[in-house]
Amino acid sequence: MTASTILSAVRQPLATALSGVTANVFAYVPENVPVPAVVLVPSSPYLEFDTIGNSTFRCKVNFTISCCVTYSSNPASLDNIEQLIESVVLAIPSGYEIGDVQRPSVTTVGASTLLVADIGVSTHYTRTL
Amino acid sequence: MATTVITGRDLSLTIDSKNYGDQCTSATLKVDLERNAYETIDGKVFFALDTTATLSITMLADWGANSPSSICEAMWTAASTAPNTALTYTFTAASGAVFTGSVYPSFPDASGTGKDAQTVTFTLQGTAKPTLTIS
Repeated sequence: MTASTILSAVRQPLATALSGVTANVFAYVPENVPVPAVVLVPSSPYLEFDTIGNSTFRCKVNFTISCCVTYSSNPASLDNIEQLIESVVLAIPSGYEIGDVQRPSVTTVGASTLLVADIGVSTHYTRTL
Repeated sequence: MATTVITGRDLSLTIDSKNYGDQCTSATLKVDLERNAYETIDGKVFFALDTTATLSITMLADWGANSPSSICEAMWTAASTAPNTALTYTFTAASGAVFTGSVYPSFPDASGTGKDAQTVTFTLQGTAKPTLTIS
């Protein structure tokens, strides 16, 4: 039996759950961001070791889910990102801790100006065989 | 001489043949020695009477887990059905230093906050002073 990985046990289930959101979902940082977009990236600290023992690899895994929408008019963009945040939070499966949502900020990616808000998400991973 | 450092990663805890390592974030085995103090004409003297052992555990709650089966539920069942039947435990502080003994089951609490993983804290009463085996 193949050993589990963080990708198979944590990242992929989260990405699969988020795929139901009406946005482009990325499990990595894309070169171009086709909005609306949801980007799953490691947070810092990425891995925390908070359980006793060393018989197998166990850790708390921290992610940031970046929600990105087009920044054109402020009221419309804020409404769009709030709706995207709502749908992302509702899509996060059980077993994942949902942290705070950081204040939306305006970010320029290439020629695009985006409104971006980050959601902190954490879960625990145990390597299994 | 090099300084010896052992950490929580060196710990392991098994109660009633169930490994708590996957869920346990903190474990403390505490043995209190009860002493009486006597004032004599030569001054204060102490006399050891008894020992009390407790095993305190903080762990991530696993209610409803199937694989592996929930240790919260196992502890709850033991406390419900056989509260006077002691469960054996093995508490390894580090390789070569193992405490063994028995504890009575206790009911894990169930609680949570909105944003954090649910945790369970409970203290188990030991039946006697644990045995430390050094190898």
